Amino acid sequence: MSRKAFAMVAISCAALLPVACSEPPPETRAVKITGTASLPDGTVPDGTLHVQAYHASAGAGHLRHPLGELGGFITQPEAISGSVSYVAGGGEGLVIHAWLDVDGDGVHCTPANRAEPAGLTVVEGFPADEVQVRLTLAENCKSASWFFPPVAAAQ
Amino acid sequence: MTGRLSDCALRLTPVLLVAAVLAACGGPPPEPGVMVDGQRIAVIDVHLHTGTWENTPPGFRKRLTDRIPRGFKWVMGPFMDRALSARSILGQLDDAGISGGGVFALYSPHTTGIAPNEFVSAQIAPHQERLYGFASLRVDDWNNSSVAELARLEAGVQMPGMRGIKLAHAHQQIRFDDRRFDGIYEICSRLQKPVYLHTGTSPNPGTRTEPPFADPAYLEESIKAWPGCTFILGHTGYDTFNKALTYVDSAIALAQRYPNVYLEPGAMGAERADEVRVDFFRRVKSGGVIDKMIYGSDGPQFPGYVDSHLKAVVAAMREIGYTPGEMEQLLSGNFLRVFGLPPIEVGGGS
Repeated sequence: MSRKAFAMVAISCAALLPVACSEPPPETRAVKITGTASLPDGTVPDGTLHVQAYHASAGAGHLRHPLGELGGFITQPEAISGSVSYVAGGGEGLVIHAWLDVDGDGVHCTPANRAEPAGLTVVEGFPADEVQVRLTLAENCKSASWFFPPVAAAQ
Repeated sequence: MTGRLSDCALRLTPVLLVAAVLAACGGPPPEPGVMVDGQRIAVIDVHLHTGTWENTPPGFRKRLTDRIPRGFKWVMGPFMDRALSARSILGQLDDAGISGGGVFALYSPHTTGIAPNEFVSAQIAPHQERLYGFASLRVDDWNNSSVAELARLEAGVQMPGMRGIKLAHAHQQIRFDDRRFDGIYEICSRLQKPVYLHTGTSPNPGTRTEPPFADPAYLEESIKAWPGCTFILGHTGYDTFNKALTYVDSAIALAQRYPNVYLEPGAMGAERADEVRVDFFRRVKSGGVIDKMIYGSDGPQFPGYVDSHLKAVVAAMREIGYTPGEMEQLLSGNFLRVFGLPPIEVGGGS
């Protein structure tokens, strides 16, 4: 091989290298979430509702874990309405956690304020473009992992 | 993904060889310790990470490779596996003149990944005179696995070289006020293995940044309930995500109030903290908690980080007017006292 040809091959290889190990951008989807949230006695409380969506499980192998976070929004408990975008193939199932911002500070309980109820529901029939949920806000200051995964029936 | 990485790893071999040759050609490491007013002070870095690329989640891999040009990102896997080995960590400590370091196990599958207790113990066991292990546990299915995970932790802290416990509430997605996890502090108290807890936020993807996951004030009831457990509040509540001292005063207040609370300034010597570093060390001094601060860097991160972090912290302390005695407490004395270790002899000083 002549020097010129060798140089051409080397330059071509160098030019191709940057795309050799690249991956296509991930596909994103969105799910619209509607429904209601109420207290255990059935009343719909005052205050804003912070909603957070999760995959029921995400990751692979040793890194597989419950509650793969997707995103969230702020809405009203009597008429939940919002959408969450997520990367397709990033996990399975849909779990919705919500808490009531009683004092309007945007923080789910403080060391002094221990009365902001939360609830969680597991959505059936996901994936879907739109899901409807009914949440019961029964436990103060509890994150999603307090509710989910629930205690297995065998235990 | 794994196959692609393997193919790429083959191409990396010459690069690693060149790096090894360059490393071998470096000069001798500096004398241990830092020189302050003619006194050489020993340094221990309580906050170092090990791990593998294989056990790093996709989101964190992406962050680590974001600055690497497209097509060359495969370099990161073999680089990380090498950089996080005990041998490489010891090299970084040597280059910085640091006598010893804490090495953390991790079980944060949502965020920074997994470095199992067995892996950490195996890494540090041959170097127990310099590397101190911290065991951890999974918390992501606590309603079903708490008994098994507490057993994992109890076994982990008794593995060769293990001296403490590591938790990262924001990475592990658990609230500081979730009392289901008090069993961890019971082990800390009963076995006298101090627990290091990441406080504040972090820029790593998947990290919870809300106050209940970041503000150590939410931990106060557990701190009160377990006076026999030593709590080391990692990062002293530094809000790394926002580059702000959001929860620092909260952490300092706990250290002032409770004898079993200590602090750690991890990542405060990083470039990301340039704008807040001096303010941070001023608050520590004015808060009267220098005797509660245990030095750590959050390394090794990248070649030279452990050294540059230490230099930045020492420069900030000099600027504020820390005495050599105060620096000695912060850089090694408090660690040795808390972990019951003998003094470290370095030339010309403590």
